[in-house]
Amino acid sequence: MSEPNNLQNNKSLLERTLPGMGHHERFGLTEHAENLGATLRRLVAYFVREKAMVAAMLGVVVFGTLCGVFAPSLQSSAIDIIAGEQGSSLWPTLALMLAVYLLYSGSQLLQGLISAKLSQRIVGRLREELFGKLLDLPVRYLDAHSHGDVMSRMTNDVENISTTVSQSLPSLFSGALTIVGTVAIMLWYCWQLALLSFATVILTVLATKILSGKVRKFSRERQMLLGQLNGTVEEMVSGYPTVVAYNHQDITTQEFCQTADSLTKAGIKTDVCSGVMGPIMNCIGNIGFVIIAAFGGYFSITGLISVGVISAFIVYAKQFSRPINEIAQVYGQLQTAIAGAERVFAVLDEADEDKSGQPLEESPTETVTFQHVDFSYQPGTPSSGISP
Amino acid sequence: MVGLVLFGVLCGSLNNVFVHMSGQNIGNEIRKDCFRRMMQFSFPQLDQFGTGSLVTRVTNDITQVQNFVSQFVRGMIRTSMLMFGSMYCMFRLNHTFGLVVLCAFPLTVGCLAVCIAKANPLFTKLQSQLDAINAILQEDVSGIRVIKACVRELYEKARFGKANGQLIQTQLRTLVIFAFMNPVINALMYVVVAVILAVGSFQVESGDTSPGTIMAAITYTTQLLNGILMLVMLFQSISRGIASWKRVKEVLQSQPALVDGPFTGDTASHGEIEFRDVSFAYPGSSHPVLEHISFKVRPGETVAIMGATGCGKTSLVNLIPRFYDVTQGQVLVDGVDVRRYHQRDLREKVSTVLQKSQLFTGTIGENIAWGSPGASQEDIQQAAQVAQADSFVSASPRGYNTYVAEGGASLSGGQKQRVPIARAVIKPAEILIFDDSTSALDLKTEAALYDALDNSRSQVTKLIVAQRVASVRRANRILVLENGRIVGCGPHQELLRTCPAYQDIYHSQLGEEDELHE
Repeated sequence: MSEPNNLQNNKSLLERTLPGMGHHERFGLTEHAENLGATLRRLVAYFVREKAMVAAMLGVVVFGTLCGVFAPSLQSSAIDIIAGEQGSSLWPTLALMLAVYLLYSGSQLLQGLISAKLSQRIVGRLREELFGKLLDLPVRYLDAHSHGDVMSRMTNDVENISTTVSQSLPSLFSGALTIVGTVAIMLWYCWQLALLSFATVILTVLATKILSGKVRKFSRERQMLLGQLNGTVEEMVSGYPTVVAYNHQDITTQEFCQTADSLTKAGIKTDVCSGVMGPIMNCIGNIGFVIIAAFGGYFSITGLISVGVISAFIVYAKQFSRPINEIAQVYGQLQTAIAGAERVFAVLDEADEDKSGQPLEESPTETVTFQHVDFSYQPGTPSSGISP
Repeated sequence: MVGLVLFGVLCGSLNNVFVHMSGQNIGNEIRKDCFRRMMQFSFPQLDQFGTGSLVTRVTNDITQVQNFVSQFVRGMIRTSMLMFGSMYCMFRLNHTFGLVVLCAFPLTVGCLAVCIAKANPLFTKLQSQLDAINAILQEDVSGIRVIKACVRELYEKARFGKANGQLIQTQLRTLVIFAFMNPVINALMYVVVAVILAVGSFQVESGDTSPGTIMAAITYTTQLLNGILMLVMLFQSISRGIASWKRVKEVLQSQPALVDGPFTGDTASHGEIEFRDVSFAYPGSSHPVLEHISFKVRPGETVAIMGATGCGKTSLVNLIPRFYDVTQGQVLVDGVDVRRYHQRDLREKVSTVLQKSQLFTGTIGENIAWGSPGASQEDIQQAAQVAQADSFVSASPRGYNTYVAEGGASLSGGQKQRVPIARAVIKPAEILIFDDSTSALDLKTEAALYDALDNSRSQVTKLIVAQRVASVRRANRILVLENGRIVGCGPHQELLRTCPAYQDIYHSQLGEEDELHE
């Protein structure tokens, strides 16, 4: 049976293998933006600038989804013809089926290309804006904010936003369309079998909810420890002369090993919980398969449906459950991306350095005068005034 | 069927647990070994690798290796078994179908090979471009004051824009290659399905097979081709994993450049230093930094080292705790060549305040206690008093428990210098080296520092590298360096009479110095 949505399956592997593409754990640290609506609107504005591409991509997605929904039914017709249950000629059906499948592949290709271009353009733009902003901010900002945090926004957050959004968008769209289309066809073919297949949906939702909560908790712990570890390494490597001069190697190594061990434990817990999702989804999928095979066979014997319908149903059941997983997964990622967007926009919204004032005319007798200057590094902390 | 499904999920879950445990534990062990190895590095090696690269290797690269181990092992076994199993079942079901699928194999593999061959060189490029962006970012964030002071914002933005543009281009190219891969393989699969249906129709007519077999064949085909796809992704992670592993291995296999000697530091004299015809050039450089340096320092003596910027002062004092090895001649501490010492025992004897003050995450008290782990609060406070740091530390609300953040961003330059001085003072060493570490202190504080040192640590040999005449004039002797050679050695008054280089320095600094002291 064909699996038109192969691309989704391998996407997460892709993300893990391409460098600099951030972390896309399935149910990773889902953060919640504080002002979802406003951030979302701002984010959308970036995409609106690329109107043409977004429209093209959505168009391709719609077309592709329709093909993907239509093709398996052609396949089932073909099998029916072979099994002698349908009378029409095989070759036109086969040709049409192949054509639709190939069109589907083509649309997947286009979708991938457009999505790549779109996400990269937005990443590029966001990064440049953010960097430019960093240089325009008053020095005070960088004093008050950890440099590591600032850089993390620049690299991880920006990457996360663009990639997640531009890949989730087609996912969501095609997923929703697929579900509607598939459900409709399934019900049309044989509503009894359809309802039986839907039972797996409930299981999926339940499993997702329980596991994602656990993963979130462990993930938070791991991120914190990871930050700590990275901080230690950076510090000890750049401060290495002092470490050597004071024979501090043993103590440093001990501290490092402790943190590393804690990180490993947290990492194992996180990975195991998020990794067990795969087998469980497989299991639920296979249970659905068994249901369809058993009841489909029974219905087919009693003449309710044809054999080819079973084949179609198997395809559709897979086709239908995948978007549900996708949406659950994507929803969490989207939330994290939006929270990241919020952090990025927070920096972009900071007030620029005060560059007001008049241009300085060159003069040989220029002096610097301090008049009743009050200054303190931290606003609010008192400091003595300076005055000539 | 149900039984198989349940068995499958059980195995899948256990597999998941073991894979991740092994992956993480392996990664952890590698990480710890890496760090331990790094802590044994000598300075030349640090220079060779570069701090940025070392940090990446211990963090990012090890994560790659870890992912590689967990994904590859599991994926490889699973996928190959799946593929062989499917192939076997397929052939058992129906030879013809099996052959059809086999024909599609070369095409699939060929397409994949092309994609990977194109993508791999891009990955290396991508990594180095990422490094470039991170480097610009690091530089500009920490040097923001300089950028603003020199009004270089536009230039930096352009520089970043260029690097960013290049990175985006490369990333786009890799994504495009992968965008092609899946649809092409899928299309191939659909063609195979169509062929199977066509062939199957003939076979059903002749009664050789049933529609059920056709459906099974199609399912197996799907599984097989998916398996190939999985394998490809795995091979991708291999190349990344191996690239990272090479980098990690370089660290793990690196032998310390400076090897310990047998001597444990039990000497009769304490605090004697001798340089015998020492010449020095940094490893990898042919330009000599020090040439034919010979002098001797008696225990308890205070010797100052002066000279223009870049004349070799820091290099000279770095030779005493053996941060680097001489290229010619000998450095002796307490009559024993430094190369004969256990490095740790040698460094117990020598306490250095480095030119660039380094503070670490922790409280001020903890930072000072680096000099003497387990020191009591009184010892810490006493050392701080000598270093003239107690005044500002005790005045702050949390005193010695004040947290040092971001390498001391909340402290002023002078305060940042005094904490490492306290750290050096608390260490029960026989030789105290100040490498231009009082540059941010005003002269009054500096004088108070030297007074306190004379009172509390009078037997300790002190080597003071400085730029200001006022800092050095109290020393027993002053060594004047010029272009890596000693051009004068003696007390202040004598040098003022006999050494032209010293006279130059003195007269150029004359004025405020004398007024303050006379």
